[in-house]
Amino acid sequence: MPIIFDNVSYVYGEHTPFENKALDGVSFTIEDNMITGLIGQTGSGKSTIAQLCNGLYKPSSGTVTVDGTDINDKKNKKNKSQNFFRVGLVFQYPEYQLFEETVRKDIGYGPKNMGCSDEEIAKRVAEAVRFVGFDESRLDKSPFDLSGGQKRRAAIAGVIAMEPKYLILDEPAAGLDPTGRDDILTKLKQYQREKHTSVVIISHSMEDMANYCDRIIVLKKGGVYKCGDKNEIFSDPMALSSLGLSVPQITKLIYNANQYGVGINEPIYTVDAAYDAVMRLISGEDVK
Amino acid sequence: MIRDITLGQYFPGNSALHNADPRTKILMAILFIAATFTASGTLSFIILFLSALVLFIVSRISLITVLKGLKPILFILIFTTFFQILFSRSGELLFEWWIIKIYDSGLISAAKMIVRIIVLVVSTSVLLSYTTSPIVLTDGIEGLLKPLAKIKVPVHDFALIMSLALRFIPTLLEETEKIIAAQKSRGANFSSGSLMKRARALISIFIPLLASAIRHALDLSEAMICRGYRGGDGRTKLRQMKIRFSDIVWLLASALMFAAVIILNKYGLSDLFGLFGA
Ligand SMILES: Nc1ncnc2c1ncn2[C@@H]1O[C@H](COP(=O)(O)OP(=O)(O)O)[C@@H](O)[C@H]1O
Ligand SMILES: [Mg+2]
Repeated sequence: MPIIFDNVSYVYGEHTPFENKALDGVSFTIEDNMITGLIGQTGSGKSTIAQLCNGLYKPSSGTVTVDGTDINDKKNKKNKSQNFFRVGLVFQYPEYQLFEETVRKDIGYGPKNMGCSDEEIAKRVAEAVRFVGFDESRLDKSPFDLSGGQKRRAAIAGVIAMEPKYLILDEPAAGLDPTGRDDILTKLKQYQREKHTSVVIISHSMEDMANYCDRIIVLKKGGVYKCGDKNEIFSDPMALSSLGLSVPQITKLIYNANQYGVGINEPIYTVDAAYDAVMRLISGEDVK
Repeated sequence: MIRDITLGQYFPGNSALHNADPRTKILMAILFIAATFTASGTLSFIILFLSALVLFIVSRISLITVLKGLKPILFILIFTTFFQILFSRSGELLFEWWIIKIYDSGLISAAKMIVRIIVLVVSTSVLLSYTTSPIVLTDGIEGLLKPLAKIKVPVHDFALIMSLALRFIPTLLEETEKIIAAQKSRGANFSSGSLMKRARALISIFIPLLASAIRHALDLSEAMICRGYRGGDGRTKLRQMKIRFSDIVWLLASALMFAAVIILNKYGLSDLFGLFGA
């Protein structure tokens, strides 16, 4: 069952002089068994949504429903910590939360808090490490001795090891070099395809969204601007640009080419798709 | 939320006290502290109270703010008053019921105690916190300690350490909040479980926080070196401190207040009436 936001508002510092309305009546659904992209400019409320999903924050109004139950319902108080395990949340720059003596122990921290047995922890750590592509020979090193990219992987593995039904990652690729970016996002896609869980990737790069997500939710200043599959979202690239979001360059290129009458009618957001479309155009298949 | 904790509240403004030199205000605060501890006569306490009242009025800080500042010490205030009144056993008996005996000396010493504590808190917080930003305050401390530099005390470095510490408090608080949220999301439990378990949960906050503080320190020191920082010698300041005529007036007035408190300690309220009666 999905995660459902129903008319959720969130105000930081409610009833203080520093009140700041971060979310204003947002409604959307995070579907099962796919990768959902959550995109919006800095300050549009992405991280706030992430923390509402696992119950760290409580909505000022509205409800967040996970698996059919309102996670902030008083009757489910006992399940509060269960919700942290059901909805795994990887914070932005998660490497800053590593603390154990060895990477192995750090990845096992979540499962240990869940009360898993030692064998179970070992099994989960091994699996998580495989999913994120962490170099296994470094499992017994101190997390502080790793490179930036390896630290990031270790931290993500720490959440994957809890085997959450939903995995939410706040800007998992922020601050990594292009190869590291692609590699982590590819690993996450493989993870989703293999486990058939629900994965949410928060980002402000349309390029990443186009390449790795199945469904996209676009936020604008604390509200949902648009929500749908890739084709719907990218049908109007210029509107997205005006939101301050980068449209994939290839989409922009095809859009501009169409303005000159090239006539590629299908939505294009990856270079491969553009290649196919252009080849078909040249070979005359699409000519009307 | 953690962020709401403020360490040293500063209320920007344009009053005579806001504009006074920080060194003046530090010296005034020292005089006020000294006066509150030397005062013993009733007259002295009246002078003390009126002087603190002047500070409060001149600063144009709202009464609510000052009362809020007194809230943390409310308990001590009530507690000491209570004991002073109940356990004094001298002077005139005013009231008696069961084992409770209240003497006039008890009431008087309780009143003095209250004035002492209120003046101490109000004068120092108005002078050093409400009307002086932390950065300006460290400048003032540095200025006052400057003579010590002659005997090789690293005054400038101490002042820099202090202002950096103040600068990074909000940053570290924000990071603490994030780390707590992240560890909670991994199932860390800070409020229940055995002592051992809770201690472990705290470690999961302290270590990342320490790492982050060290990271900030390294970044900052590199940035400072790149911008040519070379210690205090020959360094000029953005905010030049200048002693003006008004600063001298403030200092003289405070010194006068201190002197008056000492001299009047010998005399009680009755002497004042005697003065007029003569
Ligand atoms: N801890 C906080 N306290 C107060 N305001 C906050 C806090 N965190 C975020 N905000 C504000 O809430 C809004 C949404 O922030 P956030 O969810 O972090 O956006 P995003 O992740 O999309 O950049 C912003 O205006 C931000 O300033
Ligand atoms: Mg964010």
